[in-house]
Amino acid sequence: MNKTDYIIKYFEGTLSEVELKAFNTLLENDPDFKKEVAFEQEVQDTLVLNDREKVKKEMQDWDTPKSKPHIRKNNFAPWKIAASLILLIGISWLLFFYTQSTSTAELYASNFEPYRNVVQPIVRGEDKEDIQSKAFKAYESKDYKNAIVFFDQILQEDPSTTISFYKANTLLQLNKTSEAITLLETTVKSADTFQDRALWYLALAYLKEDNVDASKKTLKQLIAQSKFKSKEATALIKQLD
Amino acid sequence: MIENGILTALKNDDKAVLKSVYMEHKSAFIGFAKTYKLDDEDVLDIYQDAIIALRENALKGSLDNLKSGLKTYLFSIGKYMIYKRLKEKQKLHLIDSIEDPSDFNQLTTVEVDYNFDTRKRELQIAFKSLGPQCQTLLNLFYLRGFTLDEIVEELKYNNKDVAKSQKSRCLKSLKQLVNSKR
Repeated sequence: MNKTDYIIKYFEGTLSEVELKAFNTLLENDPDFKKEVAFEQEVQDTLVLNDREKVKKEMQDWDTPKSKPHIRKNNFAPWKIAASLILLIGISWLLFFYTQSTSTAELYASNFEPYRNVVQPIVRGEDKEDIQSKAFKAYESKDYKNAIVFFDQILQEDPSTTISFYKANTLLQLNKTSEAITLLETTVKSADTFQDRALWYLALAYLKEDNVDASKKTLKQLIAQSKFKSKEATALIKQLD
Repeated sequence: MIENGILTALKNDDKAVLKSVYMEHKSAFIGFAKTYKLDDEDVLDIYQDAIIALRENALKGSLDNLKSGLKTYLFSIGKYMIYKRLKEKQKLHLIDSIEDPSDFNQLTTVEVDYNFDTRKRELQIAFKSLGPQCQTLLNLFYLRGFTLDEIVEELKYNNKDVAKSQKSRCLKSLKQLVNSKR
């Protein structure tokens, strides 16, 4: 049996006891053999992860059923016209009263952009595995669920306003607005380099919660304090007035 | 014991059956998870991971001699994952101390994560740029646990040597693709 066969049987799980011993000896004494086994192990791990990612996406599709095709019929009975009119009036009425809140949501969406990672540069090909690298790697690749877990781990050991700030950004991405607000409200109290940035995101978070007054107040505080986003902040206040 | 037809279908990577299993137990699981302080998004996420664990264990053959039924098994995994998630969040929300469910010990332990490191991400990208034949062969071998003999049958190769050289050719391309990026 040659070396390739050993590796094949290892992954098949068909090595006999004697063969397994020979396999382990090769692993210890033959660096090339060891490298090949390690490579194939990586391939296997990658394919498992790849498959998980794929199946997870499929499941998410199963949860959002596609809308059924419209069936058109040309027999408009008078009562249908009446019903449509009532519906139309109803919708206009709703639109009239809800314009206020949709517009704050729109303003939030057009202004919000997760703050870029300036803490931990991610270098391609580099494989740093400390928590902070993992956290920002997840953050940068928009994997916000994992980012939260890592940020929490960091904050446990070393509560820093910078990490809190990024955690708040992540919470906003996950639509956990009120949690983000609570966090940002404490973050803005400490005067450090991220204070102005935290104010900006706090203002946006208030906006998302439709709390226009608090948002305006925070924006004014930001303008008074720093040049960061002052143009955008001024424009936003005008739109909210 | 899981009904034979379902187990075979899961082993054959039958997505329609997986979907029906997924749909069948979803609302019951969500109801079951209601007693824990988790939001809906987390519960659905956990349910999906439990289904993935079920699928992976079926593919590995770990469910062949399972004593319990599918639903019991699925909910045990799910319960384990709920506890794990609660533990992770404990620091945040101060939940009363949590112990692992004791009935889980006889079952296969399952951790489902999606943590690609940089190297594996690169491998994934390289893998996706391989031809469909190579992708199928490597998936059958490394993911679904086919032996080379089974691959010969499945992919209608003439003999085992063809399968063997095809496999090493695919691995070689993969290695070249991923190394060219460095």
